[in-house]
Amino acid sequence: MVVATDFRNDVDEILPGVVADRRHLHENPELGFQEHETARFVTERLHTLGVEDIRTGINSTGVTGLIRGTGEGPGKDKVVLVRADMDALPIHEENTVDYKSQNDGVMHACGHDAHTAMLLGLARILTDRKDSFAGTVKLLFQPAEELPPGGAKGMIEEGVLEDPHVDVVLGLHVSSDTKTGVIKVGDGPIMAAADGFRITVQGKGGHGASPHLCVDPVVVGSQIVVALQTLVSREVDPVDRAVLSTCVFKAGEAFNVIPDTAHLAGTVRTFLPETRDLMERRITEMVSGIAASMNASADIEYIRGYPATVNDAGIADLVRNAARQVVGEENLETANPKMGAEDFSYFLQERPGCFFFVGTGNEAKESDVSHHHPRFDVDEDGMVQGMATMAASVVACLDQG
Amino acid sequence: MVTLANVREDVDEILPGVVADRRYLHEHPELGFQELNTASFVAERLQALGVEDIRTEINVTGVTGLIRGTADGPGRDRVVLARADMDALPIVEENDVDYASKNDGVMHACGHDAHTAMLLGVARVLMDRRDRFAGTVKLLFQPSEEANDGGALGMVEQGVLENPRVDACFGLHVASELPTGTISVGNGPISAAADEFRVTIQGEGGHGAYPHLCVDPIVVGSQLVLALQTLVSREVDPTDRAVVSVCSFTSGDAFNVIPDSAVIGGTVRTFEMETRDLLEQRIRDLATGIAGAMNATVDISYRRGYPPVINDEAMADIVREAARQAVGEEGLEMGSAEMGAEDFSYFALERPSCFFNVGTGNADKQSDVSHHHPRFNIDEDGMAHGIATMATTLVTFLNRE
Repeated sequence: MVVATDFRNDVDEILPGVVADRRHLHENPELGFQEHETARFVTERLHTLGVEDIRTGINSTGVTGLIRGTGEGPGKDKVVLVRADMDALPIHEENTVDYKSQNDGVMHACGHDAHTAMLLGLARILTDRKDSFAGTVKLLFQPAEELPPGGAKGMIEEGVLEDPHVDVVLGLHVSSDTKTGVIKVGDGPIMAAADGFRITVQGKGGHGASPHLCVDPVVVGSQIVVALQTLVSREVDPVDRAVLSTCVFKAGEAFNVIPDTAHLAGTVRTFLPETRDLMERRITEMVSGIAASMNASADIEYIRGYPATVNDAGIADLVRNAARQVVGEENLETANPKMGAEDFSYFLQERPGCFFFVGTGNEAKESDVSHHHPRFDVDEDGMVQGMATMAASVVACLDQG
Repeated sequence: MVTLANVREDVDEILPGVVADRRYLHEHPELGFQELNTASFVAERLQALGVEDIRTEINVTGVTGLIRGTADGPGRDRVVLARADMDALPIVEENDVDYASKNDGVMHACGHDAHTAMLLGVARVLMDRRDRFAGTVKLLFQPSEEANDGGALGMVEQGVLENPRVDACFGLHVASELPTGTISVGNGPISAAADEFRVTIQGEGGHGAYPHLCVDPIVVGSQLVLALQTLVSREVDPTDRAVVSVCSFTSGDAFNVIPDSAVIGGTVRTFEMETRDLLEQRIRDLATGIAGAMNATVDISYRRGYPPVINDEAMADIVREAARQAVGEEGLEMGSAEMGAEDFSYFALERPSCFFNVGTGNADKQSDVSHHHPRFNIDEDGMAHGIATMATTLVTFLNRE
């Protein structure tokens, strides 16, 4: 049976190729749902490797392929899906590396170049070791993780979890705030649901010196902003977690004219479906109530974004075990819930699975800059642990039967 | 005491000419400090009437002229000033009259066309009746009452109250909310000081899902908006009056990014200097204190606009008596304090003065639309009351013992 240390050796061997792929992708970033060159590059690589049943153009630019193990084992009818996202961000790169973005104003500032290159690396390792496992690995490259409604949901709707039926889903994310060599795995909800809201407060404008003839939407909006802060502090169960941020407040132009309306917008992050429902309901109630009590009215739009990313504890254990063999107990850490959102959550809503974090932060290489920053970069050495852990996890899931 | 006998008949006689002038000015509105055509129209009219010592281009477009009475009397060394403002507003006229604005986007929507035409009418009446009074009437046509750096202050600074030295000042304003046939004269503070403030709250931006790493300027700004409302309700002497309106609140662009800063702007109206000082100080205290308490900082700019117009009671009595003759006891109203501002205040600060309102509201003529509205218009019949009251006032001031 193949073991994690074998994968470590395999990865070291192929790393230069993975680095080259990652740099090629970094140099040629594409925005969500426009990853045409990236998808073509991926497809060509999969063809060359002999990956089977390659399907392209799924939800615009998504790609899938199968690697069937030829070994014997309890997992021979099992299918494990491994996912990478391919899209870049509308950010102007400020790195001065020789593989910096050639697509002005677009940048791989979140490491999806590394995710795609690592999944191609994984494909190579698993293809080379087909005879040492039973069952099927489904490779999935998705568009537009950064661009709500995201690429994952559409791919699922187009049937990527069937034909063959997928049993377990796995995904990873590089993390600049985690040191290279460290792997973080968490149980249960590890990333938040990200919803948005837009509120238009309709008051009644007029002259700033005649407030009694107006309904001042700036005061109503301010009451709303302050009142909404009590939802997290007073209405969410203190053992649960949530965020409500009003990020936009726009009202008025002139200093002496009370405007007709105020526009507020913000984001809501939650982990539990009940809390998500509570926030939506209470925002609506509070805003309408405050507006009505002040003779204004409010138009409220609540937009549900990605759901919470919830790991299956059993699968997370398998991943932890794989990571332990790759990076050692001392470099295995618990992933605490993050308030960021991730559309891998749609896969996890359908199948048990695990999404884990791979450290690529290295101060010496200036790769500890935060994600989405114009100077974001990854310590490519971290890709080694990512691929080895993923390979060992895939095989562990299949062997589990 | 000698009086202007039959002033109403004099006014009725010249009214068609005043109406024609007013319509000409209405058709050719000019913005503040750009009243070049208006000023040369005024200067020509004064010249034709034989007004003496005509001076032009005072504080850009201001015009003054003198009418010297030829009678003998106690007021032979007195000088009384009557003021009109000439500027229009940046408003697209929506009236469907044949004298509608020909200067697209500029409109006499506050009646300054009528003020100018009425003062020319006063000049004509007084020129014809020079033998009825002793002393000097100084006619003053000022630029830019509407702009924040109004025309009055500059004219005062350039010496219009001297050479000859002015003893008292009178001004009037048409009022669409007062029915035609009504004149309103108040004592003491009758229009507010109008100040302007802008507070930039410097927080610390970041991702909407990571509020703990940010200082949210929208929550700080909202707290400040609410706290500012307590200044009028809790800190201003309840027997005094004041307004604080936050008329703009601008912060953020993306629904999920906590912005770095928020800018709020507004207006402050007061009648008493102590209250004006109090509010400026307390706005600064609250902004600094609330921001400090919430880990933000503020940059505050407080800009003093026009001071309050404070009528001298004796001067107001003269106007009241004149108005009684023009519109009868039933048409005379006691003027109350208004929150709007007016730069006649700079004259009133220097000399005993009275500023009064002349009703031009008439629902049948659709002239009861609020000032600054694109459909604002005046009932020209009201100009007769204004001219008669002003002419009588000026002569009374000069002729009284």
